Amino acid sequence: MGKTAIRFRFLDVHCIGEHESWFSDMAAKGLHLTELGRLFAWFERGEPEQIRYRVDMVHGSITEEQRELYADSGWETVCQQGDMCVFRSPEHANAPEIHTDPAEQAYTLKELTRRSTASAVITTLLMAAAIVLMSFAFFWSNGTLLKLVEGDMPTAPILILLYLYQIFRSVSAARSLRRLVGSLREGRELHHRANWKRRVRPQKAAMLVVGLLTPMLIFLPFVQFMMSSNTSLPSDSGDPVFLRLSEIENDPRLERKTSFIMDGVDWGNFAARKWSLYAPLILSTGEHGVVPGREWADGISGEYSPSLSTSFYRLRFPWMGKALAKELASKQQEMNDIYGPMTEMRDTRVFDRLYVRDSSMNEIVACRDGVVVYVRYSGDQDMVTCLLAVRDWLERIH
Amino acid sequence: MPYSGGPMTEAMYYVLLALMNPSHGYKLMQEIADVSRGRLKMGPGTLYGVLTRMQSDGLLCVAEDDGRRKIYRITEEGRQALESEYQRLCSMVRDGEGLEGSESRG
Repeated sequence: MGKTAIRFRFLDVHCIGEHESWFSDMAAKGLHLTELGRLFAWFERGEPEQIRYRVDMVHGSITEEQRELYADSGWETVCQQGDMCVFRSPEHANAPEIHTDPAEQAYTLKELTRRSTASAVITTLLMAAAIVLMSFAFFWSNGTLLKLVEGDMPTAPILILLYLYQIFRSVSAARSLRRLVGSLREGRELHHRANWKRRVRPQKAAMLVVGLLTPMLIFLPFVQFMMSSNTSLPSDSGDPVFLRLSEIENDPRLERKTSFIMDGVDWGNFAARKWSLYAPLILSTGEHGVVPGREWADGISGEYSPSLSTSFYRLRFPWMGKALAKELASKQQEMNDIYGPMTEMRDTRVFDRLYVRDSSMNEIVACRDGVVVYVRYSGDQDMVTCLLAVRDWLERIH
Repeated sequence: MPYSGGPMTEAMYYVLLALMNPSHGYKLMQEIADVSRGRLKMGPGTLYGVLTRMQSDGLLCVAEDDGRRKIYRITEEGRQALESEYQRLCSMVRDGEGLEGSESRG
């Protein structure tokens, strides 16, 4: 006998026949079970042998009396994990089966069935409650897609998937066990050569998905945090990803109007960058300008000080664009209802979707090729000028 | 489920029958085979489960325990339950006696 080999234990505790079959197949390859844990099984490498393995449910630790009774009948105790006790006997020994009465064997599964059912009920209730709470926070108000794209509660969809998987697993286990007990009570013997590979394949796939999703719960918020930044807008308009006030105003006298500065950022002229799983680039900008010596067109509002706010979303999945544009327009309409409705402009050749509101401020929501923008301009330029600026903006960033 | 006086399983019946003579685990398996004339070969798991359950139901008890082996014997309650089960089975056989006549006519 030699080195130890460790294998991941993909089988649930209720897969009794599959466990027995798996251990026997491993022994035939020279891997002999020595220890069983919740997640792993330890095997000792040796010569291939034809060994029968049997699993018996033992409530509490196996007694010496039981161990000896089984040994006298040719069954060596291998290990115990929880209530699952494993015994082995070489094929050639022709030891009598441990359980010869299926109805009596059903009784040994009573405690496991009770616990499995209770676990399924509790898991379902807890997970369902968590899903309802998260869904309430996420889906109750308008703007679900916007929340998703902006990375609010980034882990909510992942958690909901994982919770649903847990419910499915615990309910499946309880049902499988009840079916097994029912079958035993009807006198049908347990199938000791159950196909363990058929159980393991979907389990492996599921574990792979869970293994990929679970680290995201930790890394996703961390990455989002690390990739967010707030800076002052550059004084020149060099970076094409920003729409600048000067592109709409087109007045060479336009100057920056500095607002309050905190942590080195001019919060009247700022650029905030974010990242989310669904939008690798999210930008928000605010810009305030002043034209010395010029007054507002109404003649009563004093020195001309136009302003521009933008939101920019470059989507990972372009097909989300139109729906996001619609939600953005809806959100802006709700927020500033007194300015009237955001109107959808159809038959535009330039934009995939376009909404405008022409009031004391010009507001535009536009979508093109997976980029969604919101622009709010306060100044004397008209909506056409704003739309042309937005068109040029979207064209250059593509 | 605790024994409530209803029909016994085959395993329960033969364990009680074999324990008319006190015995321990493995020897009990052989005595069950003897008393059933080789028809019933009870597995150790089935035997142990039945012994544990009937002990908690009071149908049998430990007569001796040397720390390694326990010798079981049937209790008075167990005798009565066994007798009751035997009478039930006899009634069933008597009720089916007409089958033997119809077989020979067939």
